[in-house]
Amino acid sequence: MSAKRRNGFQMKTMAASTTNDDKLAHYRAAFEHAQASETLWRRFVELGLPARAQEAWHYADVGAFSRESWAMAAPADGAAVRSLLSELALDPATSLVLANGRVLDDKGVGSAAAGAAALHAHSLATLNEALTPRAAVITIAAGETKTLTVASLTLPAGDGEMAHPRIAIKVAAGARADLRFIFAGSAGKRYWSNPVVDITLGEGAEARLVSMAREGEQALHTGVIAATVERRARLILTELILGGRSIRRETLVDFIGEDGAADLAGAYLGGGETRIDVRSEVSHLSPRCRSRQLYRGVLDDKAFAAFQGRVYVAPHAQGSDAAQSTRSLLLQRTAEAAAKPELEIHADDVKCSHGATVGELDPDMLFYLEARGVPPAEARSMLVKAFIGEVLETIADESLRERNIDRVGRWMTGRGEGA
Amino acid sequence: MTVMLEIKNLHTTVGGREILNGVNLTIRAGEVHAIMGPNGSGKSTLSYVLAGRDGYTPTQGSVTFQGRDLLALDPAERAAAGIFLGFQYPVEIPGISTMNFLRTALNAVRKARGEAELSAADFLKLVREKAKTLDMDPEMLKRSVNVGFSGGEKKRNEMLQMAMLQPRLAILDETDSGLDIDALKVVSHGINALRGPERSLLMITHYQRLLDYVVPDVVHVLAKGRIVKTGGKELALELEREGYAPYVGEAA
Repeated sequence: MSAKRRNGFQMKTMAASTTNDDKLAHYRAAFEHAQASETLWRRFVELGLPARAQEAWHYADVGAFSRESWAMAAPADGAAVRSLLSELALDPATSLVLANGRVLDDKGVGSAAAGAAALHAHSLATLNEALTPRAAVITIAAGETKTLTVASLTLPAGDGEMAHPRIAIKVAAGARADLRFIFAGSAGKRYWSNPVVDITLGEGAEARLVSMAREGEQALHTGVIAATVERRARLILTELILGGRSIRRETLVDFIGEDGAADLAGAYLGGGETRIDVRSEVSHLSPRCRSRQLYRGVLDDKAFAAFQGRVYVAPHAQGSDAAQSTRSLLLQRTAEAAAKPELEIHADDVKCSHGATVGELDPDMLFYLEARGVPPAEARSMLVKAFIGEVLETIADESLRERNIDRVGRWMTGRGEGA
Repeated sequence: MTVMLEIKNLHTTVGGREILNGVNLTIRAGEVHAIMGPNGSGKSTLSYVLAGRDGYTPTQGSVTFQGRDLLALDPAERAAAGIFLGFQYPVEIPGISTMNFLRTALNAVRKARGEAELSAADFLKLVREKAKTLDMDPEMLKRSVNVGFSGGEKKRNEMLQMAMLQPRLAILDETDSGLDIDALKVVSHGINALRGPERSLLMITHYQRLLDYVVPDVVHVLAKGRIVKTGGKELALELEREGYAPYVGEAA
């Protein structure tokens, strides 16, 4: 796990950290208040606050971390939590709920230092670790199968509050996890949610993760899922990003054993002045692992989205097979999309491919639907759902898949599209 | 017989070039008309103007459909009013199943016509019945619209949509192109099944072949953006024999 391969994070952080000193001071008080260790503080300072000059944070809304002042959110109001859960059609009795970063009902709480190596090189994950020493811990024993919904809600008392939810998952050898994550929060408040999901898949384990992020329209979200994949384990992740003022979702996968597999799929929809920043980093550190990445974005109004997909293949990781595809659909010319694949390959017997396109709704398809009587707004909505469908098809559970397709339909309706 | 469609002095410019140059055409309820003409005479442009495609707005003239100003309606409203355009090149739509496409279209049209939406069971029954008459494998309906369909399958799919939507006026643009003789018979059967005193057909075709199976009441020759000759079904045979050369000259 060399620091070298993390150059995306580390190469430029030294230079950045000196200029960030003043801004860092602001976070010092929070570290002290949380009684975080000096080791974590030193790591945080060394990594520095995210800055545009760092490749990994190039498209992030970096000003939000350095210019704004954030205070830890107090425990959330119970009535507000219940009301949001019911709006999300979630049963608190069968779900694991975190509110403002705190696990409710003391279900599976534990201390959890970062497991995934990638998180040690990640400034905001370090901040998360320091400020939320108690994590939600989910353990699935060898041979077991577990299905669980995890909701992380941010319901601050006022603007300028932050929460650092932390979820640590251990899927033991041969176990199967079917986990659904929902990230949501207050509609009108300016808050920052910085959740970390740290998951380890033991030998031959399989984890299906479906993550849906629909934060409030003023919210800042910077979430990371870091997966450590052991021999013959398989990760299947589907992400849906539907809301927030500025939202960054990052997936970090380390293949630490042979013959692992990761299927990453993500769909992001942005309207208004939403800024979306999706990043993946898949590190083939062992031979014969297979990764697939499928990302689709739909952008309206003045929304901006960037997809940065990085694949690293270590010198000894022969037989690595990595493919990446990203496509964006602009519903209006004022919207903007960027795609940046990054391949760093040090082995010679590998298959790596990537493709990126940006386009608009096809006028021939629209006319065909309309000529059959489908009103224009509904026709647009159908085509958007079909476009995103490729991603949502990766959700195995049919009712969950349908619910997410409906969410995309409602998102279009919310933009004045569709019935 | 009541008038279904009345086109008066229709002019249309596409990409800065005048393609339709004063078309006049009246189709009465129950009639089958064929428009024939050489390539580039404006046949497809006329079909797009009638269906309301973007970029095909007339510069002059009027189109009245069952007494309504057709040009004031958007394409979906025209479909609900009873216009159906059978595409020369049916569009492929990945990610939307044919079944979903048909149900959405049918229910949108029924809703606009003030009828109740069909239940899932009733819809399924109807679509299976119609697919059977067109010799279509119901498995095809699960596939994305026209994706991976052969030329013949695409045209059958057009006929299936027409059978489901039950239009008042079907405009069929080169429906016979790309069909082998068996497919041509099936498609013709689908067209004939729609014929009736309340419906009209406008067949746009380059060749006379389709007209052996769907016999028209009136045949028009379109050349250089105008209807230059109108006659009975025998006109189609005459064109087949003598070609379009005389008419191209006449319109010049």
